[in-house]
Amino acid sequence: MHRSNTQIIDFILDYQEKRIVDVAEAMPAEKYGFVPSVGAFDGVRTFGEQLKHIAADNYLLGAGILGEKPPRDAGTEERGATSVRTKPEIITYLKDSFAYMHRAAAAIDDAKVPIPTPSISPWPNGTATRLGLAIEDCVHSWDHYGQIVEYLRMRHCSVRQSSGNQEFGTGSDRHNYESGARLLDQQH
Amino acid sequence: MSQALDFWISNTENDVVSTADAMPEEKYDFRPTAGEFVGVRTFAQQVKHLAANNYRMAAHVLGQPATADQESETGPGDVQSKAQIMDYLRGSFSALHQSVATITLGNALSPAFPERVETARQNTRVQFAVDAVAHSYDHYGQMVEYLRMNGIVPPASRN
Repeated sequence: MHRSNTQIIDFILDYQEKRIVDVAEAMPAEKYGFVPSVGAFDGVRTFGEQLKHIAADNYLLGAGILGEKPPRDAGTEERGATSVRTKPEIITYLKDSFAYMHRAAAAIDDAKVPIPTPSISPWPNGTATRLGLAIEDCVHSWDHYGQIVEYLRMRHCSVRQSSGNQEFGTGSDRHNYESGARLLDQQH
Repeated sequence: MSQALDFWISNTENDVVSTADAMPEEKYDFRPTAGEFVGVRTFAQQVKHLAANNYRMAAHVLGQPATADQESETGPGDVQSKAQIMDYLRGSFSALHQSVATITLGNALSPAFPERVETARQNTRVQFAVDAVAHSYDHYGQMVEYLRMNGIVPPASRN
Protein backbone atom coordinates (compact mmCIF):
# COMPACT_ATOMS: atom_id res chain seq x y z
CA MET A 1 0.00 0.00 0.00
CA HIS A 2 1.42 3.35 -0.98
CA ARG A 3 1.32 6.01 1.71
CA SER A 4 2.06 9.57 0.76
CA ASN A 5 4.27 11.88 2.79
CA THR A 6 1.15 13.89 3.63
CA GLN A 7 -0.52 10.80 5.08
CA ILE A 8 2.54 9.91 7.14
CA ILE A 9 2.93 13.42 8.58
CA ASP A 10 -0.82 13.76 9.19
CA PHE A 11 -0.80 10.56 11.19
CA ILE A 12 2.08 11.73 13.38
CA LEU A 13 0.43 15.12 13.90
CA ASP A 14 -2.86 13.51 14.94
CA TYR A 15 -1.08 11.24 17.37
CA GLN A 16 1.10 13.88 18.96
CA GLU A 17 -1.66 16.49 19.14
CA LYS A 18 -3.72 14.03 21.18
CA ARG A 19 -0.82 13.28 23.50
CA ILE A 20 0.24 16.90 23.97
CA VAL A 21 -3.28 18.26 24.44
CA ASP A 22 -4.00 15.48 26.96
CA VAL A 23 -0.98 16.60 29.00
CA ALA A 24 -1.99 20.25 28.65
CA GLU A 25 -5.49 19.45 29.90
CA ALA A 26 -4.19 17.32 32.77
CA MET A 27 -2.16 20.15 34.32
CA PRO A 28 -4.34 22.36 36.55
CA ALA A 29 -4.59 25.99 35.40
CA GLU A 30 -2.91 27.22 38.58
CA LYS A 31 0.16 25.09 37.77
CA TYR A 32 0.69 26.51 34.28
CA GLY A 33 3.37 28.78 35.73
CA PHE A 34 5.19 25.78 37.21
CA VAL A 35 8.89 25.57 36.56
CA PRO A 36 11.06 22.92 38.24
CA SER A 37 13.34 24.30 40.91
CA VAL A 38 15.30 21.38 42.37
CA GLY A 39 18.27 20.96 40.06
CA ALA A 40 19.78 22.96 37.19
CA PHE A 41 16.60 24.62 35.99
CA ASP A 42 17.59 28.30 35.82
CA GLY A 43 15.91 30.02 32.89
CA VAL A 44 13.88 27.05 31.67
CA ARG A 45 10.36 27.50 30.37
CA THR A 46 7.28 27.23 32.56
CA PHE A 47 4.75 24.54 31.67
CA GLY A 48 2.59 27.11 29.87
CA GLU A 49 5.61 28.49 28.02
CA GLN A 50 6.52 24.99 26.82
CA LEU A 51 3.06 24.65 25.25
CA LYS A 52 3.23 28.08 23.65
CA HIS A 53 6.68 27.26 22.28
CA ILE A 54 5.40 24.04 20.69
CA ALA A 55 2.54 25.99 19.12
CA ALA A 56 4.80 28.81 17.94
CA ASP A 57 7.01 26.37 16.05
CA ASN A 58 3.95 24.73 14.53
CA TYR A 59 2.95 28.13 13.17
CA LEU A 60 6.45 29.06 12.01
CA LEU A 61 7.31 25.75 10.35
CA GLY A 62 3.82 25.38 8.89
CA ALA A 63 4.25 28.82 7.37
CA GLY A 64 7.64 27.76 6.02
CA ILE A 65 6.07 24.74 4.34
CA LEU A 66 3.26 26.82 2.86
CA GLY A 67 5.51 29.74 1.90
CA GLU A 68 3.39 32.31 3.71
CA LYS A 69 3.30 34.37 6.91
CA PRO A 70 2.14 32.56 10.08
CA PRO A 71 -1.61 33.04 10.61
CA ARG A 72 -1.09 33.74 14.32
CA ASP A 73 1.51 35.77 16.18
CA ALA A 74 4.34 33.37 17.03
CA GLY A 75 6.00 35.90 19.33
CA THR A 76 9.69 36.63 19.57
CA GLU A 77 12.21 33.80 19.80
CA GLU A 78 9.49 31.16 19.34
CA ARG A 79 7.80 32.14 22.61
CA GLY A 80 4.31 32.40 21.22
CA ALA A 81 1.93 35.34 21.37
CA THR A 82 2.19 37.40 24.56
CA SER A 83 -1.58 37.93 24.48
CA VAL A 84 -2.12 34.20 25.02
CA ARG A 85 -1.99 33.73 28.80
CA THR A 86 -4.69 31.59 30.38
CA LYS A 87 -4.98 27.81 30.19
CA PRO A 88 -8.00 27.93 27.84
CA GLU A 89 -6.25 30.49 25.65
CA ILE A 90 -3.08 28.42 25.50
CA ILE A 91 -4.93 25.21 24.67
CA THR A 92 -6.87 26.93 21.89
CA TYR A 93 -3.64 28.46 20.56
CA LEU A 94 -2.08 24.99 20.66
CA LYS A 95 -4.97 23.22 18.95
CA ASP A 96 -5.13 25.89 16.25
CA SER A 97 -1.42 25.43 15.62
CA PHE A 98 -1.93 21.72 14.95
CA ALA A 99 -4.81 22.50 12.63
CA TYR A 100 -2.46 24.80 10.75
CA MET A 101 0.23 22.12 10.55
CA HIS A 102 -2.35 19.75 9.05
CA ARG A 103 -2.99 22.38 6.39
CA ALA A 104 0.74 22.54 5.78
CA ALA A 105 1.04 18.75 5.66
CA ALA A 106 -1.50 18.69 2.85
CA ALA A 107 0.96 20.74 0.78
CA ILE A 108 3.72 18.13 1.02
CA ASP A 109 4.08 16.11 -2.12
CA ASP A 110 6.37 13.16 -2.72
CA ALA A 111 8.88 15.13 -4.75
CA LYS A 112 12.13 16.64 -3.59
CA VAL A 113 11.57 20.36 -4.01
CA PRO A 114 13.92 22.75 -2.15
CA ILE A 115 12.17 25.64 -0.39
CA PRO A 116 13.55 28.65 1.54
CA THR A 117 14.90 27.76 4.98
CA PRO A 118 12.93 29.39 7.84
CA SER A 119 15.06 31.40 10.24
CA ILE A 120 14.46 28.93 13.08
CA SER A 121 15.60 25.90 11.04
CA PRO A 122 19.06 24.34 10.98
CA TRP A 123 18.87 23.38 7.29
CA PRO A 124 21.65 24.91 5.18
CA ASN A 125 20.24 27.20 2.47
CA GLY A 126 18.91 25.30 -0.48
CA THR A 127 18.51 21.99 1.37
CA ALA A 128 15.17 22.45 3.16
CA THR A 129 12.20 20.58 1.75
CA ARG A 130 8.57 20.51 2.83
CA LEU A 131 9.02 17.00 4.17
CA GLY A 132 12.18 18.06 6.00
CA LEU A 133 10.40 20.95 7.73
CA ALA A 134 7.49 18.71 8.65
CA ILE A 135 9.88 16.21 10.25
CA GLU A 136 11.57 19.09 12.08
CA ASP A 137 8.23 20.19 13.44
CA CYS A 138 7.29 16.70 14.58
CA VAL A 139 10.57 15.96 16.35
CA HIS A 140 10.56 19.40 17.99
CA SER A 141 7.12 18.75 19.45
CA TRP A 142 8.22 15.34 20.75
CA ASP A 143 11.24 16.90 22.46
CA HIS A 144 9.01 19.25 24.43
CA TYR A 145 6.39 16.58 24.97
CA GLY A 146 9.06 14.58 26.79
CA GLN A 147 9.73 17.59 28.99
CA ILE A 148 6.12 18.48 29.80
CA VAL A 149 5.43 14.87 30.77
CA GLU A 150 8.19 15.22 33.36
CA TYR A 151 6.76 18.57 34.55
CA LEU A 152 3.38 16.90 34.94
CA ARG A 153 4.82 14.05 36.96
CA MET A 154 6.74 16.51 39.16
CA ARG A 155 3.40 18.11 40.00
CA HIS A 156 2.03 14.69 41.03
CA CYS A 157 -0.28 14.58 38.02
CA SER A 158 -0.60 11.88 35.39
CA VAL A 159 -2.53 11.17 32.23
CA ARG A 160 -4.32 7.98 31.30
CA GLN A 161 -4.19 7.06 27.66
CA SER A 162 -7.46 6.72 25.87
CA SER A 163 -6.31 3.57 24.08
CA GLY A 164 -5.40 1.76 27.27
CA ASN A 165 -4.79 2.26 30.92
CA GLN A 166 -1.08 2.95 30.80
CA GLU A 167 0.48 6.17 31.92
CA PHE A 168 2.90 8.08 29.76
CA GLY A 169 6.49 6.97 29.97
CA THR A 170 5.77 3.31 30.53
CA GLY A 171 6.73 0.72 27.99
CA SER A 172 3.41 0.11 26.38
CA ASP A 173 2.82 3.61 25.06
CA ARG A 174 5.26 2.90 22.26
CA HIS A 175 3.34 -0.15 21.22
CA ASN A 176 0.18 1.88 21.17
CA TYR A 177 1.98 4.21 18.77
CA GLU A 178 2.59 1.50 16.24
CA SER A 179 -0.77 -0.17 16.70
CA GLY A 180 -2.22 3.31 16.34
CA ALA A 181 -0.96 3.27 12.78
CA ARG A 182 -4.21 1.58 11.89
CA LEU A 183 -5.75 5.03 12.10
CA LEU A 184 -3.82 5.89 8.99
CA ASP A 185 -5.58 3.18 7.06
CA GLN A 186 -8.95 4.07 8.45
CA GLN A 187 -8.59 7.72 7.61
CA HIS A 188 -7.19 7.31 4.15
CA MET B 1 14.83 12.26 0.56
CA SER B 2 17.54 10.08 2.03
CA GLN B 3 19.52 13.26 2.75
CA ALA B 4 16.59 14.91 4.55
CA LEU B 5 16.14 11.87 6.76
CA ASP B 6 19.85 11.46 7.38
CA PHE B 7 20.11 15.13 8.34
CA TRP B 8 17.62 14.59 11.13
CA ILE B 9 19.24 11.37 12.24
CA SER B 10 22.52 13.30 12.62
CA ASN B 11 20.80 16.07 14.59
CA THR B 12 19.14 13.51 16.83
CA GLU B 13 22.40 11.66 17.30
CA ASN B 14 24.24 14.84 18.32
CA ASP B 15 21.60 15.76 20.89
CA VAL B 16 21.01 12.32 22.34
CA VAL B 17 24.61 11.07 22.48
CA SER B 18 25.89 14.27 24.12
CA THR B 19 23.09 14.12 26.68
CA ALA B 20 23.75 10.46 27.47
CA ASP B 21 27.43 11.22 27.85
CA ALA B 22 26.75 14.18 30.15
CA MET B 23 25.21 11.98 32.86
CA PRO B 24 27.86 10.57 35.22
CA GLU B 25 28.00 6.78 35.31
CA GLU B 26 26.99 6.68 38.98
CA LYS B 27 23.73 8.44 38.06
CA TYR B 28 22.78 6.06 35.26
CA ASP B 29 20.38 4.29 37.63
CA PHE B 30 18.66 7.58 38.52
CA ARG B 31 14.92 7.80 38.22
CA PRO B 32 12.91 10.68 39.66
CA THR B 33 11.01 10.11 42.89
CA ALA B 34 9.59 13.53 43.81
CA GLY B 35 6.23 13.35 42.07
CA GLU B 36 4.19 10.79 40.14
CA PHE B 37 7.09 8.64 38.92
CA VAL B 38 6.21 5.08 39.95
CA GLY B 39 7.43 2.58 37.36
CA VAL B 40 9.23 5.04 35.08
CA ARG B 41 12.50 4.14 33.42
CA THR B 42 15.92 4.88 34.89
CA PHE B 43 18.21 7.12 32.85
CA ALA B 44 20.03 4.03 31.56
CA GLN B 45 16.75 2.36 30.62
CA GLN B 46 15.68 5.48 28.73
CA VAL B 47 18.88 5.37 26.67
CA LYS B 48 18.68 1.64 26.00
CA HIS B 49 15.01 1.89 25.11
CA LEU B 50 15.64 4.70 22.65
CA ALA B 51 18.58 2.83 21.08
CA ALA B 52 16.68 -0.46 20.84
CA ASN B 53 13.96 1.23 18.85
CA ASN B 54 16.58 2.82 16.59
CA TYR B 55 17.97 -0.64 15.80
CA ARG B 56 14.45 -1.95 15.30
CA MET B 57 13.53 0.80 12.87
CA ALA B 58 16.88 0.53 11.05
CA ALA B 59 16.16 -3.16 10.48
CA HIS B 60 12.65 -2.38 9.27
CA VAL B 61 13.90 0.21 6.79
CA LEU B 62 15.87 -2.67 5.27
CA GLY B 63 12.81 -4.90 5.33
CA GLN B 64 14.38 -7.07 8.02
CA PRO B 65 12.89 -8.29 11.31
CA ALA B 66 14.17 -6.91 14.61
CA THR B 67 15.67 -9.07 17.34
CA ALA B 68 13.59 -9.91 20.40
CA ASP B 69 15.27 -7.31 22.61
CA GLN B 70 14.78 -4.69 19.91
CA GLU B 71 11.16 -5.63 19.42
CA SER B 72 10.54 -5.34 23.18
CA GLU B 73 12.50 -2.04 23.10
CA THR B 74 14.51 -2.93 26.18
CA GLY B 75 17.87 -3.65 24.57
CA PRO B 76 20.21 -6.51 25.51
CA GLY B 77 20.35 -7.48 29.18
CA ASP B 78 24.14 -7.66 29.16
CA VAL B 79 24.51 -4.00 28.14
CA GLN B 80 24.82 -2.48 31.60
CA SER B 81 27.72 -0.10 32.15
CA LYS B 82 27.73 3.47 30.87
CA ALA B 83 30.46 2.59 28.36
CA GLN B 84 28.46 -0.36 27.05
CA ILE B 85 25.27 1.68 26.83
CA MET B 86 27.07 4.49 25.00
CA ASP B 87 28.47 1.99 22.49
CA TYR B 88 25.03 0.47 22.04
CA LEU B 89 23.54 3.93 21.54
CA ARG B 90 26.16 5.06 19.02
CA GLY B 91 25.76 1.79 17.17
CA SER B 92 22.04 2.38 16.88
CA PHE B 93 22.60 5.64 15.05
CA SER B 94 25.19 4.03 12.79
CA ALA B 95 22.59 1.42 11.93
CA LEU B 96 20.09 4.16 11.11
CA HIS B 97 22.56 6.04 8.90
CA GLN B 98 23.35 2.87 6.97
CA SER B 99 19.74 1.86 6.51
CA VAL B 100 18.48 5.31 5.53
CA ALA B 101 21.19 5.51 2.86
CA THR B 102 19.27 2.78 1.01
CA ILE B 103 16.12 4.93 0.75
CA THR B 104 15.44 6.34 -2.69
CA LEU B 105 12.55 8.27 -4.18
CA GLY B 106 11.59 5.00 -5.81
CA ASN B 107 11.31 2.87 -2.68
CA ALA B 108 10.64 5.45 0.08
CA LEU B 109 6.87 5.10 0.16
CA SER B 110 6.38 1.55 -1.02
CA PRO B 111 5.81 -1.31 1.44
CA ALA B 112 8.91 -2.67 3.16
CA PHE B 113 7.18 -5.85 4.35
CA PRO B 114 4.87 -7.67 1.93
CA GLU B 115 3.14 -9.42 4.86
CA ARG B 116 2.11 -6.05 6.33
CA VAL B 117 0.42 -4.78 3.18
CA GLU B 118 -3.03 -5.85 4.26
CA THR B 119 -2.50 -4.79 7.86
CA ALA B 120 -2.56 -1.42 9.58
CA ARG B 121 1.07 -1.52 10.73
CA GLN B 122 3.69 1.00 9.67
CA ASN B 123 5.14 -0.21 6.42
CA THR B 124 7.05 2.44 4.51
CA ARG B 125 10.74 3.23 4.85
CA VAL B 126 9.97 6.90 5.52
CA GLN B 127 7.62 5.96 8.36
CA PHE B 128 10.25 3.77 10.00
CA ALA B 129 12.93 6.45 9.72
CA VAL B 130 10.64 9.20 11.06
CA ASP B 131 9.51 6.89 13.88
CA ALA B 132 13.13 6.52 15.01
CA VAL B 133 13.85 10.26 15.24
CA ALA B 134 10.43 11.24 16.63
CA HIS B 135 10.61 8.55 19.31
CA SER B 136 14.19 9.52 20.14
CA TYR B 137 13.19 13.13 20.75
CA ASP B 138 10.37 12.14 23.10
CA HIS B 139 12.91 10.37 25.29
CA TYR B 140 15.54 13.04 24.72
CA GLY B 141 13.11 15.51 26.29
CA GLN B 142 12.81 13.23 29.31
CA MET B 143 16.58 12.65 29.55
CA VAL B 144 17.12 16.41 29.55
CA GLU B 145 14.84 16.72 32.58
CA TYR B 146 16.62 13.85 34.33
CA LEU B 147 19.93 15.67 33.77
CA ARG B 148 18.59 18.95 35.16
CA MET B 149 17.15 17.16 38.20
CA ASN B 150 20.73 16.08 38.90
CA GLY B 151 22.07 19.62 38.65
CA ILE B 152 23.47 19.17 35.14
CA VAL B 153 22.69 21.64 32.35
CA PRO B 154 22.10 19.68 29.11
CA PRO B 155 24.88 20.15 26.52
CA ALA B 156 22.47 21.70 24.00
CA SER B 157 21.59 24.45 26.52
CA ARG B 158 25.18 25.41 27.38
CA ASN B 159 26.52 28.61 25.85
